[in-house]
Amino acid sequence: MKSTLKKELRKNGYIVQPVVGDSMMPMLDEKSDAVRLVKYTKKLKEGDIPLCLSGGKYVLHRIIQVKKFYCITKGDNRSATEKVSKRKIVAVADGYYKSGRFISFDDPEYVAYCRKVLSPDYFYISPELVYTAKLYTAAVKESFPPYPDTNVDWKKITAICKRQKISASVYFAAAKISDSIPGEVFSQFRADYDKNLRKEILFEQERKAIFEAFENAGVLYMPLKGIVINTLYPHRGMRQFADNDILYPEEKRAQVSKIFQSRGYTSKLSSGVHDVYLKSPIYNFEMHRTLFASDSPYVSFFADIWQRAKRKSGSCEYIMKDEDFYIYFLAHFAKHFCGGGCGIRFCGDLYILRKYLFEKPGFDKSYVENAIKKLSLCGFEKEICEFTRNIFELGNFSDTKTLSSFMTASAYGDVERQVIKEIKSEGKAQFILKKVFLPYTQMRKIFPVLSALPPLLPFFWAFRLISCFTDKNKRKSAFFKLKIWKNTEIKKSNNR
Amino acid sequence: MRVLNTMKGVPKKAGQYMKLIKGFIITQVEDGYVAIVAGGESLRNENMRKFNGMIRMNKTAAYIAELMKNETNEETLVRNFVEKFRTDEKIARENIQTVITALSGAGLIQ
Repeated sequence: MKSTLKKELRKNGYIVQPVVGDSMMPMLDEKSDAVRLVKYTKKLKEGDIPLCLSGGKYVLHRIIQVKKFYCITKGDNRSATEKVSKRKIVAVADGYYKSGRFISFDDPEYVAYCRKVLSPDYFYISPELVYTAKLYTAAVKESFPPYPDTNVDWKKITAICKRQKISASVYFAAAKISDSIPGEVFSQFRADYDKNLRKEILFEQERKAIFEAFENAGVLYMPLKGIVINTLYPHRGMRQFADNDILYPEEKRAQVSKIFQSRGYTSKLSSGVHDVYLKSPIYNFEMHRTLFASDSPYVSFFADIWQRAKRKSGSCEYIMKDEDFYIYFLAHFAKHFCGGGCGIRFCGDLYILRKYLFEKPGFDKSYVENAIKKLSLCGFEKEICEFTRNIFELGNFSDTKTLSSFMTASAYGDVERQVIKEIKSEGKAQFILKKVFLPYTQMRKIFPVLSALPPLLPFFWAFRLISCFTDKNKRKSAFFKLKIWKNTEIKKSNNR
Repeated sequence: MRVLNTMKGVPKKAGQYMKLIKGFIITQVEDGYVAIVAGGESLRNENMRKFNGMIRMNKTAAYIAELMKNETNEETLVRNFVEKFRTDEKIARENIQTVITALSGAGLIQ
């Protein structure tokens, strides 16, 4: 394309190019629109749309800040910004074709749109994100879903559902309006539900066997998170999950490991809060020794959770009391929300928990209120409950910024968001130093020998750095984070 | 029963002993029963993959399949079916042969 582009620009002074992707929606729709590009004259301003060569691809985003040697750009339909060297700019747009009609950048309507997009409050959310949220909420609360618009993009909706891990849930809404959904799309929702139902049944069987082994070995255990929440959803197999979380006493670690190994599991033992046990084809058990890491603000509240939980008569199984379960869920939700973000399924879980737990006779709401105050979760709970109530109970999807934050994340959050948050709170230099020279307390968890030999810390720093380059996955992760670090600008005006 | 017409089955002979493969799980769900096999084998089987690793059945098919977890033959199944559902032998045999054909076609009978 580069040679064609230069040739056309030289010959005609401009080139018309169709667009690919949705990063400049609603201005540019890849299904119907094209952009007119002219020569780059080196005089750029905020609002301009340059065509840049980035990583071997052409990217067309809007300038939100101009610097001496580079610009900060952002897609109209994106929250992340990019740093683009002026040397990488090959052309600049001066107008575009919207469904065949040419719109110049001098057009008053476009000027007004540009002003709106550049304002700090601007937020665009695609119709597919909103409709997927509507399908999901209708499914979970078992109400009739809205019918789709005729031009809705089902490919985008299925991709959103997959990323959010809500296809099995959305199936229940889709089943009510199946005549309005393309056959192959509905079949895919059905297949995803079937797969999840199968997974749930298999996990139930496996869990039964593992709990039997725990009972025989006298290992106390407490089912957590999805094991409990799944049972509260309206339909079996409706809520997708990745693993089973179980709490057990730390002193039984060796015994638990033996039990899992005898059942053919491989283990990923960690010095953190949990060990992971895996068995083909789908089994994934996270065995928690504590609910939160020792440096978590929530750890002391849950320190005596075994004493507060109820033991099932004649069994090693403990059931967390409803109030503690809700508080634990909220703390876990806050951890994901404030970290790399999280998907809409957390809101679904919140809706379900509040519906079933809060209505139970004897549920102690004042206990929950006091605990949330103690854990400084009041503000978070208020905000998230209001948002959840709006979308589930009132059918109000007007808070597009929060909705987009949930719907554009993956189910458990994104590394990119987490990294950007860390960079913006700590500063770029501090972020890099902390990543390269991990604190001793963290290094000790990764390399337990440091507990006995702290002077070896510099050696293990070097070892860890080298392994980042020798291990393919670590290298990929490190370069990914480095790219985000390079492109993140730390200025108030860029905090969109 | 929803007959799995797309499956090719190899009907077992009346006196021939048969048994479901190891790891077979039958469980009741909202709209009937489902049969799955614990382990990845079911998804390596082409027929099971068509049904997302799960076969849906009604109550009578689930009853027959449950009996087939232990080694049995068609005659024994017919006797049990007649007694359980108080029906005649012809209907029992038709139902049983349908189920055997479907499960055999899914590679679930050894």
